[in-house]
Amino acid sequence: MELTLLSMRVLLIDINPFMPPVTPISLGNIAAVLKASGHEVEVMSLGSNSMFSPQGVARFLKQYQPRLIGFGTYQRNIPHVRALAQLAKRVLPECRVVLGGPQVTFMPDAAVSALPEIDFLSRGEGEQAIRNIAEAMSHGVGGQPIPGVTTRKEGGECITGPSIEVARELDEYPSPWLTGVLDPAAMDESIILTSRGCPNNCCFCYTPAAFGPGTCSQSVERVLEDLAFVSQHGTGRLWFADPNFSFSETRVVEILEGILERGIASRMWIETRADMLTPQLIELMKRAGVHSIAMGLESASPNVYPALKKGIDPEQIEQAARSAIDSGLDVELFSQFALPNETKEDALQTLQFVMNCGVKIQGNSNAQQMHLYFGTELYSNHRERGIKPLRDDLPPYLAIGGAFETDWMTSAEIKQVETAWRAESADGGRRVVS
Amino acid sequence: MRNWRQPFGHTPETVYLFLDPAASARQRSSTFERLRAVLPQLNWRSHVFAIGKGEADHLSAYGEILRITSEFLEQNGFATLHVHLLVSLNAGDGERWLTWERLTAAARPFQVRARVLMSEARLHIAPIITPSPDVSVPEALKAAEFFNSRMALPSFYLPGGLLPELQNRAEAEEMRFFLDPGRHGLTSQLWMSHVLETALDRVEDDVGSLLLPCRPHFVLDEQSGMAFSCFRHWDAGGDGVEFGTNGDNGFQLPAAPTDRECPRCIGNAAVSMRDNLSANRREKEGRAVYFKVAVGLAGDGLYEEAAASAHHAYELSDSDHDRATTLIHESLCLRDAREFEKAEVALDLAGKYTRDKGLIAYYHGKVQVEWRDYIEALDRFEEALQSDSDQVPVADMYFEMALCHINIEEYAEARLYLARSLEDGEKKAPVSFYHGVCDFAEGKIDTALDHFTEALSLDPAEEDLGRVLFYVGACYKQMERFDEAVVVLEKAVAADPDDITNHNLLGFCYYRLKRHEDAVVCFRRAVEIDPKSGIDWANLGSNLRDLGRINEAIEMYRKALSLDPHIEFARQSLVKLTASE
Repeated sequence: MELTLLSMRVLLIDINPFMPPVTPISLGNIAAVLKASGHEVEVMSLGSNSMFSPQGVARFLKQYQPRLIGFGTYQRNIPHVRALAQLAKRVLPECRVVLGGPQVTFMPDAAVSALPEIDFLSRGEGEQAIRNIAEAMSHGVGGQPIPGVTTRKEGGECITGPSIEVARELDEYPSPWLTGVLDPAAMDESIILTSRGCPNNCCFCYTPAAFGPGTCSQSVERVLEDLAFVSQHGTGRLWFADPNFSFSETRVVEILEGILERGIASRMWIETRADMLTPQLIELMKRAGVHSIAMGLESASPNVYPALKKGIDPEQIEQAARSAIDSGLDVELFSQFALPNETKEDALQTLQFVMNCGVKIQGNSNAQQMHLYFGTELYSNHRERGIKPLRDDLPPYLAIGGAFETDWMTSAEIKQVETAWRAESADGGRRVVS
Repeated sequence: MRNWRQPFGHTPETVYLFLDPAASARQRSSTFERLRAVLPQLNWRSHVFAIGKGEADHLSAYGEILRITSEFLEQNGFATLHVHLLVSLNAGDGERWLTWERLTAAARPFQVRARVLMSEARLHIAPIITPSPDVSVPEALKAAEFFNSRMALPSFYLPGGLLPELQNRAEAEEMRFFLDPGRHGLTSQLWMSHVLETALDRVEDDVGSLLLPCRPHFVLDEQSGMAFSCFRHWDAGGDGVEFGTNGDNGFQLPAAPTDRECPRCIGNAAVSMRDNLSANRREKEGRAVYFKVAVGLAGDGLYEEAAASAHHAYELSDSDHDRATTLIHESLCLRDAREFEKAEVALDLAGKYTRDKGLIAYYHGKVQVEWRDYIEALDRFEEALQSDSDQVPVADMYFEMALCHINIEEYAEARLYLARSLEDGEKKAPVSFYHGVCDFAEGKIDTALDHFTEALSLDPAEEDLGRVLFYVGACYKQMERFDEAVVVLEKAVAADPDDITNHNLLGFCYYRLKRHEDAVVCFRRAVEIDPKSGIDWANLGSNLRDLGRINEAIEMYRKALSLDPHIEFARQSLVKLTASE
């Protein structure tokens, strides 16, 4: 028997205590799916400089009366998410709370018992999971496993539904821009997310576990539609948040050429791969409105980078960076320290490498300590990889994060590396994109 | 979609609670109730200052305040509260430390929880230590270390000025100072500090944002039982709301301030906090703020305050280029404040920090223009021309030189410099206008009219439009084409309704067209603008006379002559009218 989906009101919140509010693109994608399914959705992005009071939140909740509240969740905002969820439950005891996001997908089931104010953990692709939750709530289906979701049965027992398959055709999902869920005019800069997954298998990254070995993406036509809308209605400043925007050189070229053909006026930041950055591509990027490119370096030390499985060596990156800088593009290099096999000297070698490339140490080029999150290869076997957690009192919903030292660097040395980077930083070590 | 910076409307982020040493138990209890009601209305990252009037501390009240804030944080784990408590420090005052220990203990559970959860949400206690004059530096440092070791960030309120040894340790101990050499009191220091901190936060923003109302705050005054939406309202004793009025929790916050006094307040804060910036080693940030505030205040016409702020920017500058730039700006503010001698002194000082003597000469010239010493101004501009400066805006200077020559009635030279101020083929409304002024002054009305008409066609600035129209009207009047003059002068009046000359000239043209009723309206408006304008009272009299309103005309002529006995036509008309009476 096919059930008819009843409409409900959903509130999706992204709270980032460390940065000003940014486009909540992932929540926007989820909201677009909910809206297309007949639900009423509001998306809210709260950042470090957002001004809101507990009473303001409570008043809004009373007025909006959401039945379901979803939070984009990651390691460092969980305490804020929990507290907001508790406030929501005080104001609206009947509402249900779901957590989604990278930290939640691989969070252990035991976390649910430590999160009494949370009703659902969304595992895997949020669009499908939240639709399943909404459907289950609409029909009052209690205690049954929900695909892609962990929930709590009466009595506190955890129940996790079957996995949901990762979508291979992202065009099936409606656009958060074109559906009006997100408004580019409300933001200083827009974020575009055109693909999921990554062909690489970096040991510190959760993407391979979340999306499998392949990559799925929106069609070039769909990307251009979104870009045209965002550029026309927003400030024209945007960046691509794909885990690996440049997984296909052909696709990148088609998108850039499409931007030129359609006269889409944007100033763009894009992540790219060093081995595809030819003079021709740089020229095309510039003409299409790219002002800044970023490349993943992680480490420049030969003692470190082979084990990261990035498949690109630092010499290629240096050459690409110099070429781009000479052409007038701003270049950013992502790097980390406290990686496996990395001594303090190795880490400082990376700092020197970045400076030698002519890259300014600022924004995303400020290195940060590697963080260990649920779902990454390193997290799974961190002790074997020389990672020594410093804490044994973490609640089950928190991963190790940065609370570790390694067989090669003590906490003090990690701090010294951080200080060395900050000393060379033009902006005090403030990262723009996490 | 909501505004993500302020999704639920006005949200104060700081409350200044001024405790009254003489408060009754009932008053105090009421104060605590209000604080309890206020906390949920504050921003999720907020500051609470608990300050006793007269700088006395209120250790007995602090325990309850911390209990209330702790309860609030237990319920709202996403919030961070900084509770600033004034604590007195007297020589040999060991017993106090036990009390302080109890105070700081209130924050400990939140510190532990924050560490366990890797969260930054917590309770911060930030004592403001006020050492008595007999407290030694080691004692003060010991107190600071006591609080630092308990993660309570201390600051010092020092009405007697800064103790150098204390400052030397300030950076290592992360202490800050509230200096108060003028002994205006801690509340004044907090006020000025709040305003300046807002400006420092906005230093990257545009100048206009810098002068907007400061970070939302309000003052709870236990003594009066009132709450105020800003320090200035509290200081002035107005626009407060009483405790216990409507609201979700029995207490409605006062509305946000919106008035235009903010720039002056920011200017005052910038000037009065100068020593504090140095004491807290924030000169670099301060310089940028002072300069931007100076630019903003000058834009708001607050030239004296702007000059003072520019001077502080100069004092905090760390390069000769910055010193010269800030001094030049100071001189221009002083010039606009009609403080010409001081403006010249500032420029002389600026000259010591730059090799570009031409640029300094140029600005001297601009000061002299305003001082109306056109000969001196021309000498200075010539000096700038003779220099090898590539910074002097030559076109602008030629234009200024032309105006100088016009003012000393050297029209041929004026035309020469007007022409030089333009690139080949370039046209500018002001240049065409002043060509017209030269011709008009020399009685070449036809060509003057051409120039003024050209100026009109070149889209003059809004503030210049009335003047250009006036001169077009004046040309028609000279040509006795009064109908055309009236059409243009009516537009001049619309563009610049407070310019008395527009009303005067339009009234005259109406008079010549025998439109006496209209002329009366014009001259009445003229004497409204300047009640001491004898000629306009006389003109009013003539039009009333021609309307047959003789008694009123006589009254107007008498008024005119009382103001200016040399208006001959008024005297003669008065004689005739009174003779026929």
